[in-house]
Amino acid sequence: MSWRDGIALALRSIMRRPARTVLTILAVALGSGLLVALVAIAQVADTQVIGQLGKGGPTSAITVVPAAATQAQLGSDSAQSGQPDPITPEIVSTIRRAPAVSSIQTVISQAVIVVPPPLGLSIPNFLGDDPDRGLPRTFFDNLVGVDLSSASQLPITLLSGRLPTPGSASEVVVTAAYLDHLGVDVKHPEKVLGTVLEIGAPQVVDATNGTVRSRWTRAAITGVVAQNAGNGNILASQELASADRAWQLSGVDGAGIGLPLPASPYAGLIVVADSLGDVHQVRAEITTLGFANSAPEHLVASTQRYLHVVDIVLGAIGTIALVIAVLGIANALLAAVRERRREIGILKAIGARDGDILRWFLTEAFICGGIGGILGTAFGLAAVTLTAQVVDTYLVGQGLGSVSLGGVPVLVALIGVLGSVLLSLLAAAWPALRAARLPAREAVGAL
Amino acid sequence: MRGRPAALSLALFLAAVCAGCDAGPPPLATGPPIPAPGQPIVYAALGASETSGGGLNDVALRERYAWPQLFFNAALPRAATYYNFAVPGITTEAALQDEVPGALAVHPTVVTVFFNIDDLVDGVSPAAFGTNLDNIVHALRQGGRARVLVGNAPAIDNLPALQACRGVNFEGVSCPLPPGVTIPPQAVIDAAVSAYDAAIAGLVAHEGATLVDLRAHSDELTAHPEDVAPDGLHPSPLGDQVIAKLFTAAYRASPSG
Repeated sequence: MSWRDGIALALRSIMRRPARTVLTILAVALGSGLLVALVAIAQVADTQVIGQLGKGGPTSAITVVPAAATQAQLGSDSAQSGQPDPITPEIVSTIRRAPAVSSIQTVISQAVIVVPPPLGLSIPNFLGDDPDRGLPRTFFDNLVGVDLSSASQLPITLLSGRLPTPGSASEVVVTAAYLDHLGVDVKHPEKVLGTVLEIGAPQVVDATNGTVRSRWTRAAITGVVAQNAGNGNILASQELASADRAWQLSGVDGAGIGLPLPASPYAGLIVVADSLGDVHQVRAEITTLGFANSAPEHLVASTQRYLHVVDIVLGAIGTIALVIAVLGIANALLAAVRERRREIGILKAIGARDGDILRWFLTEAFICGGIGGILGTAFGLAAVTLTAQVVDTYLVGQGLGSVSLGGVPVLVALIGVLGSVLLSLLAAAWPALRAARLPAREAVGAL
Repeated sequence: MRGRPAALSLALFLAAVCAGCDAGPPPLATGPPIPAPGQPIVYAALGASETSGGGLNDVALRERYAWPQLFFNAALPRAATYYNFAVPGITTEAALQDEVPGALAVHPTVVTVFFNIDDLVDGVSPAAFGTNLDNIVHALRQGGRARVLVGNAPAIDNLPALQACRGVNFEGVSCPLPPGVTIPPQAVIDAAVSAYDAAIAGLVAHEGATLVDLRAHSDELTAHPEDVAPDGLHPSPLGDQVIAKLFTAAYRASPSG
């Protein structure tokens, strides 16, 4: 019997009992679908949970603050800060040269006056100097300046819109706190996109009589972010923050009126280690240099352990479902062997070998397992996509970061299909062997 | 033939699944298109208390309503930068030392200059005022690199603060002159203001600056109570708006404005 004959025989057998075939395929599809869905959800959950610990930046990022580290620093994820200690360009160079450091981003923080819109002559109802006329009031905040061309290396999560063009002095993004200040619902961040605010960097001319003059720029809001790069609610290019800072530094110290000159050239550093495993080593080097720092080092490790347990549980549930499906295949084929004893006997009587009978039943199992695996994998991925979209819509609606599958998990899909086929073949092995070893005389005689 | 509908259904199902997989997360919300930032202009405002928002007691309001702030927002592109060097109570002589060097350090391309009341109160002669202001404008012109707009002095005889010095009672308004100093007759003040404005007109023509004729709009600035701050001397937010509109109009009407 040729392969072609074996396949034709298997297909004919499948078509002869369509109801049983459909039920067998559905059992495999449900089992593989459940396994694929659970594994894919576990994968996405792992990525998202660990990613969340990086607060939008790399999980291996370490935040360095301009303060001396205390003895307890290395045992803690958070910065254990002592006395203020400026982060100088020399310190930045030293850290950059340290082993296992992948990249380093400087952060500038500048005290500014923020004037929200409406601005200029477009202000409605010039009715005197009543500060409570309903317009959003000006307020002091910090302008956080970062290298926007390396935003992916920073703990910044874009919630709406886009980041400013790198180097732009006339575009900024704001945090949800800015929306709160304006009384804008965080669920509708698009209301502030495209609006223009004024940013004034104060320079103290005379601290005694409180004379302050400001450098004013205007910037369009291009997006809303959640950010942990620096302490402030306006995020902009480092060029804008540097110019504002230079303006303040050309004045005098205004500590007495709440406008002290910044002591540290940088308000912080974001140091990215080569990998999660290198974070501790890099933190130790930074701590040795004397600077307080923070990274979710211990939190990531414990979270990974918990996630591993969850993976095992989800995988076990999926595997049980698949085993049940496999038992279904074995049961169906055992029934088929019993039904086809006469055919087996006739085939053997006209010269079919044991291997031919084996091939017949294994091909049947292969077809059922293959179709069930493909359908189940497709169903599982569709279920995950749908779930991800529902979760994403909910998160965005709550003003939180979005969740993404990150494309089709190809490996999971392949394992889903191939695993179903392999397990179907294994399930079919015993019934097929039983059929192959059935003596022709006994098979025919049983009739 | 029986297998075709089933195969077609399977293909459609798989296509739908794949389309779902490729869709990814929904796009982030976007607002209206953001206008182009325009040319990077550096604007410096020089003057006294009127220019620093002297009529606005609330600091938060001052940042929003002072007339240079309104001019900055109305006349200049988004990419412009603005510095306010105004010092309350300063005269032109002091401004040469205390405001001009700082302004030159930021290399302004647009400058507004508005001095008069404090020179008048200090009794600076029109000639000295003209010379000082000419020096200021000449320095700020930087050989023609910067466009300089100079505001002249509006008629001030209607200001409640000066009326208070003559015994007219305005609620909450007191005479700004020190005790023992008597206010000159109306005609003398008018003549001094006219002489100041003549000096301003001359130096503006000489230096190639742009005159912002506040004198011609004196009624708008000083005759309407709502245009004057509660102190009776400085412009209110409405007065600041009038000044800003006049400077904006002059800027737009001037060459390359």
